[in-house]
Amino acid sequence: MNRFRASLLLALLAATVLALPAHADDEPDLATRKRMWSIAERLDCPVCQGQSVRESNAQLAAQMREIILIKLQSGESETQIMDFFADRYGLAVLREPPREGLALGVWIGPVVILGLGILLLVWVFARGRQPGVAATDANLEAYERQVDDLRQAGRDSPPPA
Amino acid sequence: MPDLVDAGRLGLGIAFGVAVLQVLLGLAGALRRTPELSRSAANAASVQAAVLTVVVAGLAAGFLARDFSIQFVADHSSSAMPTGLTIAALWGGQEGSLLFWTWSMSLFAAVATRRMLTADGVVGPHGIAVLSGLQLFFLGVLVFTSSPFSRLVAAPAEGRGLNPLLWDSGMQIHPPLLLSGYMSFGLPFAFAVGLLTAGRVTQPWLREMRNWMLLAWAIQSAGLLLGAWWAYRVLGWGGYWGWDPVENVALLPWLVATAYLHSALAQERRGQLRAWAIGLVLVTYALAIFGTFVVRSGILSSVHNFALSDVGPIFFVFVGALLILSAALFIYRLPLIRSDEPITDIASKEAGFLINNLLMLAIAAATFWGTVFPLITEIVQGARIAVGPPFYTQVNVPLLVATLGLLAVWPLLAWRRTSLRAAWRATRWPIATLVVVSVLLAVLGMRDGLPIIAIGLTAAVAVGVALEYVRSLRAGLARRREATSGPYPIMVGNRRRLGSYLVHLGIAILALGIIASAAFSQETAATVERGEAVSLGSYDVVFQGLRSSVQPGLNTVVAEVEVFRDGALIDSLSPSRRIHAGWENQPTADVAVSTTLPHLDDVYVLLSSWDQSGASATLRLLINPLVVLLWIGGIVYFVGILVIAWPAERREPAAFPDAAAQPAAL
Repeated sequence: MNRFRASLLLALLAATVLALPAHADDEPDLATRKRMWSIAERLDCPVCQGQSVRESNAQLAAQMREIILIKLQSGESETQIMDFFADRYGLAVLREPPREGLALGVWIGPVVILGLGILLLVWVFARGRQPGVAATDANLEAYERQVDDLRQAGRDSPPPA
Repeated sequence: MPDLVDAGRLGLGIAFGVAVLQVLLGLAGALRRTPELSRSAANAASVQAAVLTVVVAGLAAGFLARDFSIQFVADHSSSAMPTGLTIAALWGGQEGSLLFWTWSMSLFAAVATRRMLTADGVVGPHGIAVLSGLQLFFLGVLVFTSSPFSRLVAAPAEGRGLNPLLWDSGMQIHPPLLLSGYMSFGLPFAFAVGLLTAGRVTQPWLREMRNWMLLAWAIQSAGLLLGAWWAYRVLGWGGYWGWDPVENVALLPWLVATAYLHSALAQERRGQLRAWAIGLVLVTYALAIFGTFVVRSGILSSVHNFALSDVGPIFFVFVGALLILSAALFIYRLPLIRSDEPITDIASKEAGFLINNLLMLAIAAATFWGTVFPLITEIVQGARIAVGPPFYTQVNVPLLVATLGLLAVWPLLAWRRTSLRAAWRATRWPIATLVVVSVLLAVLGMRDGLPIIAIGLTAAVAVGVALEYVRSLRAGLARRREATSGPYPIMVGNRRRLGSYLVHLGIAILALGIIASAAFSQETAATVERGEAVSLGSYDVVFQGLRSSVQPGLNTVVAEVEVFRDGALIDSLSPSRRIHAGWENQPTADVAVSTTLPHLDDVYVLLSSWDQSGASATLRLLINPLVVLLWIGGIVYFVGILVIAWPAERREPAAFPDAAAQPAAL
């Protein structure tokens, strides 16, 4: 990792912490901590490869978690906090792609594929049902009953010598 | 001491020469329809395997002798490494892992080429030619761009050592399994392309192709599962699967191979979906090579960048060529391989296979899309967006739950068509289980819909499997009573079907572990003095102090902690951090995990940082419920695969007295 970039990020964060209101020193309660972890899970650690702020043991990630806590305590909403980090580090910091703009495409893709797949499946079954296939529940059930009777008969009578 | 660099180069040169000869013999055998030539190609495959075995042994000897004049050895090992790990460093980098790939492929090919000749005398030579071509490609890449045998002019006194993340016993088993998994998808591919070029479809050939895919799929399954276990124990973030690009691309061929194995059953039993199944084999291999391309080019950012190199473009061209050529061949031969046998009813086993295919391919497509989407935004917008776990869980978990629903019902239906009455009789107990368990969980106060349904469906799958086994046992008992002479079977039934049910059960248990641990996992972190506790839920983890140990090249700091549940001591753990010489900026965590009984919670403790005096430490504590189900499910899954793959005994007519006697009496 580029040490220069990392220290720059740290300096930025330190400045942010200093600028925050002072009453945030109170011990956060469990619910706030829980919300912090859930937000951290949705943020990408900017200095690690492919780890979230929740998972990462990097110093920067630890400080980001601290900032989330402080911001939560000062009453900021989750969206505000996410936006704050997205402004600082760019959209790539959001692990959950936004549902707007070009990123909407990543959400639409799977839906379209699944839809096409279901259509294909319906078509396959529709094709299979065309004439020539005569089995219906009615005649199938008669047949099944016959099999059951035979089976029952076989069970009651002694096996053939 | 013999010069290993020269010997290694010579060995690779000989192997390359043999591979060229093997391709020429294979092509001549296929084109001139001379079985003797194809047999010679099969012999050349054996020679190639022998030569490459010697080459691999030579590189391993270089590692064991700590011969740092070999660049690959100097880059990936050091004298501080224990023997087992030193040998595993062989696949710790791009060149060595490619050598391992080529070598394991040569071993598989030595067996497969012979089996191709016995499976079908006409198609066999085509299969041999294709397989030989694949081998030559990999050997060529190895020899001309990635030879592990390059010499350092001035041999360093000490090697660089393995990346500390790989410094773990998992290194000895996870990478070779995944490499062999990727590699072995090439074998069914060679069968499929051989069939297409020869233009002939025979059952023994299709069966043999299915068996090789089963093997490749089993190896890939083991590799993926061990990767999850390793990530959980070593990477230290409390999870087992991060939807990292390198993990995703390893999952893709597994998903499509799973789809193939099901449509192959419909093909075999009822002649349905034949062309479709062959197409899936081709796609599986293209995805395996795509995965290799992603892993080795580093085009997508990943925690797995251990084998980066400039062979990326070669694999990119290779996967493109594979796709174009196999698609052209497939379309050209479509009239020949397609089956006209329709699937008539949704309430049938084969419909279940189709729905399985839909779900597996939908998961694969969504995963592929999410993995490559950052590249698309980079091209269009100039900036990458991140597509992380929140995307994959929101898209894939519903599909996974749908798969559980499929597993609970469709395997119990009959082939062709099941009447409503019979379908109800076959599935009423699993469905009743689903309803009872879900209602019970809701009454007990569970509020999350998804875990409720997942637990209910897993129970339903388990009941369905148990019923099938009871039925089979009873049939076995009945036959023992009636039989006048041995052998006396314990169970009667289709072994492959019984094995598949176990695999299904394993998957259901695994899925339950995934969904429950994701829904109920808790986490906290705190800096504590000696004697203080980090608390979470019913658990208190008390920090008892630090100790450190110093070995040459390795410092370890260990935190001693005691785990209490509701105030009672249940376990002592020692999470630690290792600092390797030369990798000081990357201290690696050794997680400590305690699985509690009967709650099945994993108490997962990680040492984040510590005070120099040893008076305080920062601990991360995660409570991961039911993660242990992943490993239990994995074991059930592999027992199922063993049942499927166990060689069937010869069917003696004496075992079925009435069946044998009746035709004679009539």
